[in-house]
Amino acid sequence: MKVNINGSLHELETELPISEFIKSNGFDPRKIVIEHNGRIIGKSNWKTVILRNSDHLVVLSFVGGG
Amino acid sequence: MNSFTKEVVGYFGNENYRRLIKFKVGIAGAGGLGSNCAALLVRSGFQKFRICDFDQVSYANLNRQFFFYDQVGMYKVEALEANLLRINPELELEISREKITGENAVGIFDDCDIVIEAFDKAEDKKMLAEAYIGSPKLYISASGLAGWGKSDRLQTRKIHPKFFLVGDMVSEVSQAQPPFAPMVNVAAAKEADIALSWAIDGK
Repeated sequence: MKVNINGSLHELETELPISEFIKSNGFDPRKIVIEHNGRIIGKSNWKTVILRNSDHLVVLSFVGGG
Repeated sequence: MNSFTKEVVGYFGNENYRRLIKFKVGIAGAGGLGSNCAALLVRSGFQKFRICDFDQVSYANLNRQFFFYDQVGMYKVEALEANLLRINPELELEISREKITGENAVGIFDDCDIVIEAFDKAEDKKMLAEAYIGSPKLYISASGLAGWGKSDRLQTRKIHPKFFLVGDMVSEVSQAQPPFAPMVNVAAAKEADIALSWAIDGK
């Protein structure tokens, strides 16, 4: 299945919860913002929201400094 | 209209000036990003601000922040207020030492048209982004500006029509990669330029 991640299409093998996507990509949950199909998904919902074919995902991963 | 403002109007005309002064800018943090960005926005002609920071100026800040040796120990917002008023004495400047949290993040900039994220910690950047990503306000954030060299690595990404992110997204401040004035200023300048071009051109 194809998922639009940060503006480009990525091939994912199966549908999966956002929590699994975050884990398998090594993101630090304390420093990321997840937007799924135009809606911000808070950490408490990462396990229940499932990534499906044609979904749009925005992952903003912040680093310190300012 | 004071002599400074007359000169600003001279640079870009009355129409652009009238557009610009309608905008109130909220700045979250008065450190490296916030203090320098504020100075650039004042020099560009913006007049209405709300700037929030709970911290005090230290000697360690002077390598990159818009403060001076004799201001160490002052609250950053109070030192910044004094410095900005030296550029333009007629600002409508509100300062707050209230710490920004997930609870007050939206309310604290309620009457601002533009919100600029200028925090130090990644967790705070995340918190504010979550609060503003769907907001009707113009929101400008920065992430990844540590070290020196290859300043073109700092890019501007338009995440949404009113949500901009500046930085290289990866260069985290650390002992090996400290924050230095040139890169911090590049990021602050990009944040300020996004606000300026939005106010004048609407994009």
